[in-house]
Amino acid sequence: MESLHASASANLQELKRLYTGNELFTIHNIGKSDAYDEAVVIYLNSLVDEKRLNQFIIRKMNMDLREHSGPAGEVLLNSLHTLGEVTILEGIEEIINHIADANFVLIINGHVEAYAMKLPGFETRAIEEPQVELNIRGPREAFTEDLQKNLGIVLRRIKSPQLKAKSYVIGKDSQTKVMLLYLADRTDPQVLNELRQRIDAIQLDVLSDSMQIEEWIQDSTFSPFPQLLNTERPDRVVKAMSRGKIVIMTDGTPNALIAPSTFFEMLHPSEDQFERFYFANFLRTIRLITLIVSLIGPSFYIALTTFHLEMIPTPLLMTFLSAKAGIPFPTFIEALIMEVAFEVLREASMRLPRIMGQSVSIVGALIIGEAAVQSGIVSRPMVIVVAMTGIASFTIPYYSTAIALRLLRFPLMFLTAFTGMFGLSIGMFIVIFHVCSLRFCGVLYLDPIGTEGYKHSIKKIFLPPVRYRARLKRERSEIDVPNRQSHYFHGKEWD
Amino acid sequence: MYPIDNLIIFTGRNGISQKRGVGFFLVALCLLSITGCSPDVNEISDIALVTAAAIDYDVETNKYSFSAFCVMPSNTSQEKASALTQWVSSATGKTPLDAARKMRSRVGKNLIFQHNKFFIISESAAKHSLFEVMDYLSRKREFRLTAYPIIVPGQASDKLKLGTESGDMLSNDLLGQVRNNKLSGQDVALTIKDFVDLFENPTRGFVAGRIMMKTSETNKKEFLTVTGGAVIYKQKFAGWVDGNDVLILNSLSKRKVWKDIEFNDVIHSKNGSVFSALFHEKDLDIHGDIQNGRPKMSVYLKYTASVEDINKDSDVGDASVISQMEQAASSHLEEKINKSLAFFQKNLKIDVLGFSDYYSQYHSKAWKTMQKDWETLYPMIPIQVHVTVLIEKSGMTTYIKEES
Repeated sequence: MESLHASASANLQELKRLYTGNELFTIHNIGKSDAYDEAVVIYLNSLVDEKRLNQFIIRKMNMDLREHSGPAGEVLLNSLHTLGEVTILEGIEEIINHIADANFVLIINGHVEAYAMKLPGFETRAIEEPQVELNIRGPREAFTEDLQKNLGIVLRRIKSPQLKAKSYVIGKDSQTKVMLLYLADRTDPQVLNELRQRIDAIQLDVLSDSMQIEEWIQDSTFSPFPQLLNTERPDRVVKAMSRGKIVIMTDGTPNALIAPSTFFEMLHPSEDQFERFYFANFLRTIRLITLIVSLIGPSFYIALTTFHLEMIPTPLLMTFLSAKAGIPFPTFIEALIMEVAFEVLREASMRLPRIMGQSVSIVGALIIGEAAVQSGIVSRPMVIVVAMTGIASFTIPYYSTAIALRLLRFPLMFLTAFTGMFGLSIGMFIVIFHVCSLRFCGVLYLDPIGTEGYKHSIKKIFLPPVRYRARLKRERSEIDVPNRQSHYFHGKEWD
Repeated sequence: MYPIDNLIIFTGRNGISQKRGVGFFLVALCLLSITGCSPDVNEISDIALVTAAAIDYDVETNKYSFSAFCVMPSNTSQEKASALTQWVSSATGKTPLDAARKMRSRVGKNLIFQHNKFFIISESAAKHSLFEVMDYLSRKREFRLTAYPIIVPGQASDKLKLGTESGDMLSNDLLGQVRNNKLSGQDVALTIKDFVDLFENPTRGFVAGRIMMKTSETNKKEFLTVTGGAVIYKQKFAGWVDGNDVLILNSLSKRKVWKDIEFNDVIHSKNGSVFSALFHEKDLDIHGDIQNGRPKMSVYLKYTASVEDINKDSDVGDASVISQMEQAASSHLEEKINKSLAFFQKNLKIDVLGFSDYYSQYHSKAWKTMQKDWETLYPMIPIQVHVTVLIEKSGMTTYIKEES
């Protein structure tokens, strides 16, 4: 790192050279004389609150210069120290980083250090309600793009000194701040260590979203399944930390990553915690069913109607028979048309502005539901199957998991159209084997299935009433104290 | 190679590799091109369902005829109301398979037999060629083993052309009648599986389903009704059994159908009242002994009953009245059972109740000597019948004596 010159004007020259062409780079002289650079304040305007800088800080420094005697540099430094926290910088690069991070920097002639103070003047979004992870009961705060604000929301909810935070700067050009949060007494140190190494290894020019971190640190890059959970809900982050997870928060992203995450956590929205346990468990059962429906819905229909007619009850087959009469396409092509049309519609209504999006979905529903059937291109049962599958996939609370299931639906349909139920079974075997093989830093993706007996697994997947959850925790901490941490992820906690 | 791949990681990275991911995708793409190539594909728009089939046998020409009652949608899906086209297609051949194949090749649709519930077998086929027919039905995978082989007097194929009284599809109507067996207990619905199980037994006979023609009481149309039974003995048709005898057969030998059956009967009580009641079988105990090398049997039956109508005012709240009614019912049922047993033993001379099974199980030593004389021994077996009836419900209307 290039260290600073004692001469302020030399340092200034260097900085001016680096910032050539950037009109935001502002130099403000302090003191009476503008001719030579005795003391200067430099900053990027629009990042720094210029109004406060001029009205209070520079004014105060000028006043102090006039009122106090002694070397000008010492006076200014003292004056600055009374105004707030000062960071001492020793190199040009540090100056650049701090300027980029909404600091103004004071350079004094004769000092081989520069002094930075944070004075952010840019606007950020206010804390709003969650847009994606909606709930009826429970907290309604969501993260914003501002890391400081996000940290504030989280820290407000955990007051334990065990809460540790480690910061990283990722991105050669973007210099994005990334925070690692965890509760030291609950986190598996091996996982933490591994995660730190992986984050250290990230090489990026610009880090614009937490997705990039997720891709870098996940175990299986080519798996369709998301291996880290991202959330916009602080309560979910807090809950995760209390279960020994590590939270990665990225500046500029309203989503926090939770590592390690398991498949079943992605099926449970945080609202389960805020509902009575009967209803929460009912919803969990429904989601398990819709998970299967959204994965194999059309494939199952194809298998039944083209290969295994004997599996359909006779009256139902009669209904299918009359519904399918006069349809020119084989069932598989029909399913493919409808599935693709459904995805196109979904994408269109996502991309259009919200007001138009609604009209698209209405028009699409009309076209697909009525006109396609009326004109005899697709059969009514197929519309029902595809619609049910689509709606089922919307009940999966975690969007990335729903996408994975939607994608896997297509190869399963191909397999089924070729060999019927046999192909569907083969396809499901491949999917299940793959999901079983997934791990994150040594934690099984399908946990608790596979790490404990099925009785415990069922207990973990469903929720007991809150007070029994608490009792179980107490028992656990009494029994497992010696090696609690290494057992942590293997289902000792309720989610 | 990413730098992260060089890290010392305490558990290796896992999941799917790039190669495998791309491979799986490519295989799926290739599969797209061959979908529909499978020979097992039965597009639902190319099929017609067979819901009933009939098998005839001509003794003179030694030929089989196979007929199928087929169903196919007649409209296109644009129309909201769905109608089904029904027709009967048939062909003759040297064997049952030959006839069936010929028939299938003549139909313009792919015939699906998995939903066929009834195989109607003509009397002549049952008499002369039942083994061949049953062998074909049980060997062929596409026939469900839960379908009912039913014997019909006269021709079988023309029965398929008869309408039903309700206007519903033939097989639906027949299935409904089999289901309504619980109201009378007067028919046996034997599936192919049970039929074949009993078929091989040389010492006992059994009763399979029968279809009769009846004339409707409201109009002059003829329609089919499932009632009574056909006796099969030594792999051949051996005679008919009436509905009442089938009811006794069901109560004496088919424990698993009891819970459904609730039959009614009219009882003449000793005090002169006539009442009808619904009977439900609760318990059956069969004892077989051997005295002087001759078998001797006793049967204990227990029924519960509920009184449904009485022809005159009687105080059913009175215990003595009830016990009188119970006794009357018991003796009536005993008489009825004795009559049926006499028919099975003296007229048919075929062990349709499976007494031979009882002796081979519980008296296996004696059975070895009895086995060869069973045909002569069976009609002579004295059978004692004891029936107990317990009236559980006497209805809501009770005669209450006013105390003055």
